Parts: sequence; structure tokens; C-alpha cells
Amino acid sequence: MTLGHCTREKDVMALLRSGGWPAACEPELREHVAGCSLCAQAVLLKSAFADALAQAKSEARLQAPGVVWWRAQLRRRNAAVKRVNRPLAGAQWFALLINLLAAVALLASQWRHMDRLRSWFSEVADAPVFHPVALWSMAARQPGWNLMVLIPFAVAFVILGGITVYLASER
Amino acid sequence: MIWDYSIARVETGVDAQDAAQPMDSEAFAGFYQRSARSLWAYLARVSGNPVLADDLMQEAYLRFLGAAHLPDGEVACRRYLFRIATNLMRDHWRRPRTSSIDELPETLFSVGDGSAASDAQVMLGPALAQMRPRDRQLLWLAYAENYTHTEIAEITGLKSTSVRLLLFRARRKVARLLCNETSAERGCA
Ligand SMILES: [Zn+2]
Repeated sequence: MTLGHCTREKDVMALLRSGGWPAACEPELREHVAGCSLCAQAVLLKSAFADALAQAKSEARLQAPGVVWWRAQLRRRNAAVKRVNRPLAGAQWFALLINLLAAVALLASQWRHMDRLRSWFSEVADAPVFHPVALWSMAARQPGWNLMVLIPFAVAFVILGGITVYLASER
Repeated sequence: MIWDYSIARVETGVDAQDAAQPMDSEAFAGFYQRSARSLWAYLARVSGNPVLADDLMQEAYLRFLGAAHLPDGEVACRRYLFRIATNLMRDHWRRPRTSSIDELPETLFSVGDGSAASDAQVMLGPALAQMRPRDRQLLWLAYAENYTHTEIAEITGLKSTSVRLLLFRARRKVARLLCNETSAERGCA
């Protein structure tokens, strides 16, 4: 497809842009426009769009520049806060993951001692008075000492998990 | 708490950013006064929706101010602003839930009371309503904003050669529509 092109169109457009059409137009160029469909089309469109632009500009309801500026500052600030929070949130998720892995590893290692754990629980349930020292001695009586590892680990897991959940919910 | 400490540090960082911002509030106020009406006219006439134009204009300036670097000089900044606005319009039309601009009623494109308007201007609204959004964009940038093909390519993200071809077709179509609707004889050959 060949595009219609006129060598004088640039001159016509320059006059239209500068507002020199038609007053400042040479008679020779005006004569050309009268006989050239492309240049006449440019004149028609340019004047239609220039009028439409002036009309639309008069309809615009503008906010004060200060309001726009203030909103932009607010957005910058929020974006900066988000940027800083992102690695902190990552660290929380990492801590949670480590906790879960530790819990799974501990459960897996203690799985074969579950029977002993069950008997220890029943012993605790049957005890007439609940006392931490008695609890400890009952655990110590169990062969293998595994409960003495399991209980502090479980307590540490609960505390660390609680802290992680608290920090995550605070966001 | 660790959080308060972090936020305090962020705010210090933001203050430092403000100082290094590419345009200060005074320069922005001047730039806004000189560019806002033209930008609104572009958005309103191309989208055919003044309310949407209000929203997109505000978003365009917010993104403009949020840029890490601005081009040198007012002319380049203005072109950059029009580029942001053009992208926002494109994103708006691409959103599935919003109605297509092609479905907007013709009345949205009509000019105010028309009392002081020329024949061609009065008919430009309905003529534009029959054009595709991209054609409206190209025509507005070329004939209302006086941008060259290269500048329009930069604003719209199209190739310069494509702009030339698309603009040629759009121009022929809108001229034909204007000629059908007005008594204008010049340019209707
Ligand atoms: Zn010509």
C-alpha cells in the first residue's frame, strides 16, 4: 500500500501549528491547498481537532497540584514501608518453617517410643497430686531417657510457634 | 517493638528519597498547570468518558511523580506523561469487566453546547465515536497535540512506520466521516 504524500503538507502543518493559517499563508500555498486533497484534508482535520482541544480544555475540572503532590508522597511512603516489611515477613515464614521441620523431625525420632509415652501419660493421669518434680521423676524412671528430651523440645516448640504466630498476626 | 524501629527507619529513608526526587513540589505545580488540561482533553476525548478521564489523569500524575527518573526537559516530561496515560487507557480497555469503549454511546463524544463550535468540530465527536480507540489516540496525538510520527511512536509504543500507516488510514476514515456529516467541501475531495 502506498501512502498518499504531498511535499507541501509539512509547510501547511507548520502554519496550522503556529496559528498562521490562513492569515499568514502565502497566496501560492493557499492555491496549492485549494487544489490538493491531502493538504485540504490536513487543514480540515487540524482545525477540527484544534477546536475540539480548546473545547475539551475548557471542560476540564482540575484538582489543586498540591493535592496530587501530597497523594504521590503518601504512595511513595507506603511503597517504602512495604519494601521494608517484605524481608521481615520472609523471615517469619522461615522461622515457622524451621519450627515445623523441627517438630516433624522430633516426632519421627520419637515414634518408636510412643508406647512408653502412652504408659507415662497413664501414670501421670493416675497420680493423686499433680507436681512437676514428681512428673520429672516419673519420666526419669522410663528407660532410654527419651521423654527428658521430648518434653523440653515440645515446650520450646510451643513457645517459638506462639511467638511466630503472634508476630505474623501483628502485621 | 522491632516494627516501630523499622518504620522509623523507612521514614528516614523516604525523607532522603524526597530530597532526591526528580521534581520538587514547586516545579511540579508549574508543570501540572501547563499540562493537566491537555492531558484531560486527551483522556476525555479518546475514552469518551469524562469521569474515567478524571481517574486516569490522577493516576497518570501519581505514576509520573513515582518514577525514579524523569526525562530531561518539559517537552520530554510531557511526552512521558502522555505515554503513562496511554498505557493506563490501554490497561483499562484490556480489563475484562469494563465495557469496551466501542460500546459507549455517541453522545459521550459530543462537544459541550456547540454554540461556538465549528461544523467540523461539532461533527468530530460522532465521527471519533465510529473510530477504533487506537485510531482516536493516534489522531488526537497528531492533530490536537501536534506530535510527530516518531513522538507518537514513543508515546504509544508502536513502531514509527506503523504509526505512519495507521495514521494515514485513520485520517482518511475520519475525514470521510466528517465530510459525510458536514457541509464542508474543503478536504473532502
Ligand atoms: Zn498538498
